[in-house]
Amino acid sequence: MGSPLKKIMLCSSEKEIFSVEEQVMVQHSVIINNMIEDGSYNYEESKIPLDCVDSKTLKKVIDYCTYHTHHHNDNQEDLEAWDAQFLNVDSNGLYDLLMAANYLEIRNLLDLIYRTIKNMIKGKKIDEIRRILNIKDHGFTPEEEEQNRKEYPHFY
Amino acid sequence: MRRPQHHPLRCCMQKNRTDKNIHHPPPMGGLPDDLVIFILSKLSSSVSSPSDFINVLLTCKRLNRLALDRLVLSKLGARAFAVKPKNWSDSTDRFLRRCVTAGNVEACYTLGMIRFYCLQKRKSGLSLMAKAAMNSHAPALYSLAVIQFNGSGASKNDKDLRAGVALCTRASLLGHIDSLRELGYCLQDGYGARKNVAEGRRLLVEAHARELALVIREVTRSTTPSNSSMLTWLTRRLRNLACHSGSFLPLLEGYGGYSVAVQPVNWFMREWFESGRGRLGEGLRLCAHVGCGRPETRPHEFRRCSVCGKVNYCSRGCQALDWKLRHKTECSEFLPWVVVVENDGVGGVAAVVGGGNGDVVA
Repeated sequence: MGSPLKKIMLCSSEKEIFSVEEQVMVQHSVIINNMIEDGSYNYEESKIPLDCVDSKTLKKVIDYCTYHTHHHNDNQEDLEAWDAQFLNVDSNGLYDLLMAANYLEIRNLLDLIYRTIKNMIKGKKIDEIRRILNIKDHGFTPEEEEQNRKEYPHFY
Repeated sequence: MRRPQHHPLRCCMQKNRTDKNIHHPPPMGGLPDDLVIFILSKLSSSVSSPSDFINVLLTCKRLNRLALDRLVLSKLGARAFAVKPKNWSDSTDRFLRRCVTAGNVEACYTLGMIRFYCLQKRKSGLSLMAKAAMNSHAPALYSLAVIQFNGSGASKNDKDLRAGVALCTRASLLGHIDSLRELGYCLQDGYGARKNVAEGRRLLVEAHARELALVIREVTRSTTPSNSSMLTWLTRRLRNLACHSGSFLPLLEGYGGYSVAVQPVNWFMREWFESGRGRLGEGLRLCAHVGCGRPETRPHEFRRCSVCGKVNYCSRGCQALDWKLRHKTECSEFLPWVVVVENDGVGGVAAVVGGGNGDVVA
């Protein structure tokens, strides 16, 4: 664990630099924690390049980590309300966040996004799921469709 | 640093992102397989009906492949297997087997129960239940106990009370309420175990307390009253309790219809026989407790209500529950009739009436 005052630099795909409290990222991101722990990060000059995370997404990720570092003692309901508000983004935004959380290995954010996407498709009809996930072509051959009809006759 | 792999899109239309600043249509299809599998396993552990899951399977070829991943199948919950008896087919059996192979303990139990009781494939049913029981699946342990107590699937001489008590003990240590209750009766009556009235009573009280805790948790957690076939007696009992203490009343009024669910496989078994999908053998009866659904496997296997003699139960637990839920009122309905018969000169009935259900703890 780094000291709370130390700052680290994160560099987005647009080469924008974000300065974050070290503790915030170390607590949440497995990848950054590993980098700091193995000593490969130089506080004077290193910037952690995050080539596949754009500035907008990186800012959100940092918001998430910062909030959850400073509010982890809040009651569960408040945190959930904040999370819901935080993930009130379009599916592009959600996708970018998911990829970023996966890249940085932020487990609780990953879990939150998994649950959110799950709730988007749970209990929906086939056509609705296709629309939500923007699936235009289901890719089944006519034979496979026939096979599906046989396997799951009550779902057509 | 590990980078996420980008998989080629096969079924899901999405343009490559050539310009990073411009977003193309929703790119969920561009998610790597491993992330999709994680999302799907979240889904599978929380589905509330089979269609929740099958709809995803049928959405597209890629999701079909990923949803049948072992990790996803192994997490499917009991509700995913709540098929309707009229829809039961070889493919349902195949799907459950697939889940069993993926290591899904709930599927082991469900398929085991259906094979043993509905399809009369006793051996494979038993081994599936045993597989679930070895993985500490409490309802499977309890079901095996009921089978041992009754000698189900075998003769009257194959009853093994001690084995039943041992199985109940294991399940009760996992907090299984029906097992606690059954074990309580066994100890209280010295049935398959050394008689210990005090300990038996203690277990019955514990079962009772856990039941109440469960209902209170359900009632306070859920905001939507359930609409499927449900047990309402616990709520009713709580309300009775509330009449005395006054404390639960406001809480319960808003959730009038809510109560503890009948387990999917029990519902399936009852429906299987009552809908006529499966036929009960000559002289065989279903356990009268609405949340059980177990059929007899040979004539006169189950215990009878000693008052009216009209209903049969697979276990003391079921008898006690049904007494509280329903039979207490139904049974007494027969009393005037019994008295009439007695007045007509048929002897010996009054003694039966006196026997009553005294062993049932209220």
